[in-house]
Amino acid sequence: MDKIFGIDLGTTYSCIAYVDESGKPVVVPNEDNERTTPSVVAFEGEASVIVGNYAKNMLTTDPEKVVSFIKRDMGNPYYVKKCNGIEYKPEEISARILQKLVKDASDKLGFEIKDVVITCPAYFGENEKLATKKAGEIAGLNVKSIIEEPVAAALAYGIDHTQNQTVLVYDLGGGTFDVTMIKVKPQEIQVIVKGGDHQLGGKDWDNSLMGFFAEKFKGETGVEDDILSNPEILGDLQIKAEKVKKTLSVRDNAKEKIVYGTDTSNIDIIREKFDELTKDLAERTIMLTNLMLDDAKKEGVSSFDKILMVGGSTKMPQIKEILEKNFPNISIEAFDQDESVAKGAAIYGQQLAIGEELIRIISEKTGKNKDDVKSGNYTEKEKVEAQQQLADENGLKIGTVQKAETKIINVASKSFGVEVIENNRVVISNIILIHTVLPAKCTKKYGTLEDNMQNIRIAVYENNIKEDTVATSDSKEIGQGIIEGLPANLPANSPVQVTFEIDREGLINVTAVELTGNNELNFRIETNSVISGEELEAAKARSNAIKLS
Amino acid sequence: METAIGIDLGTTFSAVSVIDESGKPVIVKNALGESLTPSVIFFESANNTVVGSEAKEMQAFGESNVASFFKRNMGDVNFELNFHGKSFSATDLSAILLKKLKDDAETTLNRKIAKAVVTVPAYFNDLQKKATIKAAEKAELEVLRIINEPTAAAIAFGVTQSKNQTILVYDLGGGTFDVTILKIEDSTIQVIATGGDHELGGKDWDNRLIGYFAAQFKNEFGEDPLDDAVSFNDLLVRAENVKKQLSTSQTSKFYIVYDGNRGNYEITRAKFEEITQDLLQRTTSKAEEILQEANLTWEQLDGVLLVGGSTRMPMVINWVEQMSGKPPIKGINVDEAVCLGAAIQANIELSESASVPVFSLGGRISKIEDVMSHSLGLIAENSDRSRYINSIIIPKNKKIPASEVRPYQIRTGRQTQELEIYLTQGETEIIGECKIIGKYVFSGIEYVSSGISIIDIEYQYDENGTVQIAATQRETGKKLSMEEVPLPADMSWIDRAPEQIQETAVPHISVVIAVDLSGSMSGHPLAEAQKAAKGFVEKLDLSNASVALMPFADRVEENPELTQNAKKLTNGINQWSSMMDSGTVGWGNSTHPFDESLKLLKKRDNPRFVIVLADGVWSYQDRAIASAKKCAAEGIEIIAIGFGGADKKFLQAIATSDENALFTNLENLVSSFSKIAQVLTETGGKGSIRLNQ
Repeated sequence: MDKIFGIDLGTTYSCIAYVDESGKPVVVPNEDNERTTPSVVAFEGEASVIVGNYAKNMLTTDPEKVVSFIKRDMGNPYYVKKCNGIEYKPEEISARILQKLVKDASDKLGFEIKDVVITCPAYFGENEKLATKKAGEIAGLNVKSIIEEPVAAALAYGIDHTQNQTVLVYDLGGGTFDVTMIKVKPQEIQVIVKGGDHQLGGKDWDNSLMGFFAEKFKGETGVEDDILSNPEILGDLQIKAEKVKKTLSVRDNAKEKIVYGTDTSNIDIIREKFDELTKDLAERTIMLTNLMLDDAKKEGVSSFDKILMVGGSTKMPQIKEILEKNFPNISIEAFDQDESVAKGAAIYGQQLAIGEELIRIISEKTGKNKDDVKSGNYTEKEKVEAQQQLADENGLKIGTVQKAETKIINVASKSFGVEVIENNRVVISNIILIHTVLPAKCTKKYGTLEDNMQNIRIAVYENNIKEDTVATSDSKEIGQGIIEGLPANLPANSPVQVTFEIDREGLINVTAVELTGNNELNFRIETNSVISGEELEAAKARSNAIKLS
Repeated sequence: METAIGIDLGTTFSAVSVIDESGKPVIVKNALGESLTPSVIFFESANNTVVGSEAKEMQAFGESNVASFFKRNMGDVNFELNFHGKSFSATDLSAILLKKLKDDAETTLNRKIAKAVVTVPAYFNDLQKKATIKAAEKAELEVLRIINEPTAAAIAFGVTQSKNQTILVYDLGGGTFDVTILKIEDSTIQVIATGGDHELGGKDWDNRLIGYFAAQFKNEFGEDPLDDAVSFNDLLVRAENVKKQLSTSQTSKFYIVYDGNRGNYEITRAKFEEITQDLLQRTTSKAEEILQEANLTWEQLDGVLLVGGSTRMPMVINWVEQMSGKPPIKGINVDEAVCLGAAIQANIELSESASVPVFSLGGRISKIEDVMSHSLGLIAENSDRSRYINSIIIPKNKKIPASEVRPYQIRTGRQTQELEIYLTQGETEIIGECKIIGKYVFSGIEYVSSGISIIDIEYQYDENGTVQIAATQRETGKKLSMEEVPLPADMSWIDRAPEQIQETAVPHISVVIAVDLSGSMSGHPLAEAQKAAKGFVEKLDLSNASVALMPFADRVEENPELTQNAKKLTNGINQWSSMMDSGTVGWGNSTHPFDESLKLLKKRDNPRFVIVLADGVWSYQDRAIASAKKCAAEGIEIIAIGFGGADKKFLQAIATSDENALFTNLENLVSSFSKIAQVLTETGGKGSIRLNQ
């Protein structure tokens, strides 16, 4: 049975894990023996790419060659990093991080890694998720699945916790914030509602500190230059701000030295000051949490058992403090903040591997074809026997194999709709609503706008609103398709049926049928937000040509 | 359930590990969630200390109340640091560090910890190991066992291995360098040879960088930034970063701001490797020396295991590949291997002491055989009593637990006497190159009528690396009472000539062991001869005797030398096998050893001996007999021992007397040689050997 690795591809740090021989998810440290690797990429030369700590260090010496926080630009069609005459898209930059994680892990473990599950924020939209998958493809990996970070964390949590409970997963990472209500049961993880902001994370706390440093420096040295406009200093402060933030998580005060030209300033900051500087950020997470709780109420969940803090930024004492203040009667638990997401992805990977293997075994033993078995055509006895055989062959505990049946019930992270004209106004008609249980398939009928239309544009939008009709300004277009070759003389208001189908990973498939002529359009949404075509091929080709360190 | 942890108490970083529920060794993170804790202590006040990353940062800030690198001073009674009016020894500092490691581990594991296995560098001597144990005790930790770092790394590696192999562990840490060769065989890890340079480590690479940049700064601005301690600390921290960066990048940048000037510099990896080439060369020499001691070549190794953070430097990896002809072994964590090995050992210790096994280990290592990292000896006088020398009792690379008994002759007076023993650690006869680590006084030596008494001195070295010394007077069979006394502050006498007191002097014996290495000796006979020769060396009072090894066949081995160094002799005897294999002295019988022996012994006073071992008929017997007679005429006594195809008449012809000729069989070879040694020692070479009885 092949091992499927779990990768937490984070904004600031990434982490890779797998389920070891004893059935436990374990993190594989990188070359430098660190359990997480900075998600920083440096294009040292055309054929030399550096990822991790050393790339991060280069922020202070060669900032023009370095990219950090690329996750925030996943799915952004306008982002491009020019370096050494090459234009790098976010997918390729993320691919280098994935490649580095996989390379270090396989060096350490002594075997090749091909199959992976990659995590992304629950709040990621369609294109961001697709872009994440593409990054895996560019890295030469077989992306078995994309799993949402809070779900992964809940999965890791559920492994050790057998009683039924409803948990609020408060996941504050380096660059994204997810707040999710999840029911954890022995063999089931059920997502109720999701909320958050994928442009809010620990980095914003660092930015506050950087501003503070710059001001202090100015005050102490009298140097009037805007030091933040110097890329080297900016890189230096970025690293130092993060360090100070971490120090302030465990101590009451921190010191840092800033050198600009020949001027030096010693910064001394106490935790209260830091908390004061970042108060609005922490409060924003609470506001978003409350919004999510409102949505949860609408789904019939008005109470929960505990708050699970996940993500490195929840190590800041201010986070626990503000949660305690706002949820005084709820127990708050920090759960393996840096690693639970990667570990959960590894568990999910193993479950997928076991599932595939069971299908193979049953199909071999019974002679039924695999698709047949996949669709559930087997007896309980055949399943139990196959589980035992799998456990024996792979040296797994039977409990591990049985546990692989854990069901994950997820809900749509967004509402998805099409652009329509209603009362002479362009609006979005939602077809699948946010928080609909996945997989989901919904169909809506529309009519053509005018007589004699030759083609129809289906523009797909996503938004966060659980209503049938939403203003375009509240929505984001994620792609489109055109139905061509409509029958001649088609009258206005001829029926067009649009079907949205979302799989377990939350990825959407759109089918549109013009019913009169039965013109069908089946498309993975076309978008320029995700790398494709020649750019994709060039990025893939570079994967094998570069030296990665 | 009881938990025992493994602790890697490093010069720059320390780590803690434990065996987890699944039987695998895992690192226990500290309170900050780090796998490694910097071995740095910041004294906020005399009683309030901050240990680890934060302390290291304070140091980078130029904070002076910071202690680091104190491991290099373990066991040094003169080392003392003062913080806020309180003084701390290296043991005190290590205790603070250990306490922090223990406390953090207890918090992380959420259980009490009372026992640990602590690793130390292979070069640590008795004092340093004792200091380490003491530091642990102060930190409320019971030390189950002290193990050598490279051995620990090998254990961590060994448990994952299923095939038998011989590997070299190349351990380049922050402040020390160790080379160890070991055999992994079935469920045993056997250390064959070990050695190192404890003045060499990653820190030296950092210093080169600082020197390189500072020189440029000085050139540019005329000021030396290294003059200022605060500036130096800052440079030190950043230079380390440059070094690490250059392991990944081809170039790195550095700046120095000092005294109102700023210098910006760039360095390439190639330049860095150039300015540190000699440091790498030092590791080469050391590795080859240890290989030689193990009687192995690079080709005979199955692989090289890299341990220690400094082995991340590409120059080290490339070098290993170049020397051994294959890339270094992968799949081991260079920072954690030592610590993980300690956890495995801790678990083994715990299982052994518990009535039921605590855990079943996933690996297959159940036994670890370590060897002496250093030779232990005592201070004696050289052959002409003109200077003091180091006389080795337990040679380096001997299997642990080791114990050796060596006879020492002393002249007894009318009153009961005392015997002072200075315990030494070192590989050569030269006192200056050895470390004197203890003084023991034995009393109650009784007068014997011959005037010369034999004191059998026994050194014992146990698994924890501590030395026990005992002495017995052979004539009375009584164990002498012993007292360990502090080393005198003034040890300058060792550099002067010993006082010449003629009547107390015991005559110095010179012996040549001439062994026939002709083809017929190959295999079992040679092995027995080696055993016999080693036994001979062990039984001889090397403080009063010099021995030369002289293998011969078609030729006599070139440049034999008389030595009192037991380690050298043991190594020399070991080399006979490879000499036989490669035909260094041929495989025939066309020469004899007497001309060479005469040359060698000419400069020495009586008593002088040549012990010849022969197993066949020599091609030119007449010449041999003539030369043997010349030796006898000079007063050199020749003892001839033969077996196998040796000719009895011929043996008698070359021996100085019929009594000195012995025809024996292989089984008795060892006892014959040891008998000779005993007689030589007990009679001071003056008595009759009388082998035939």
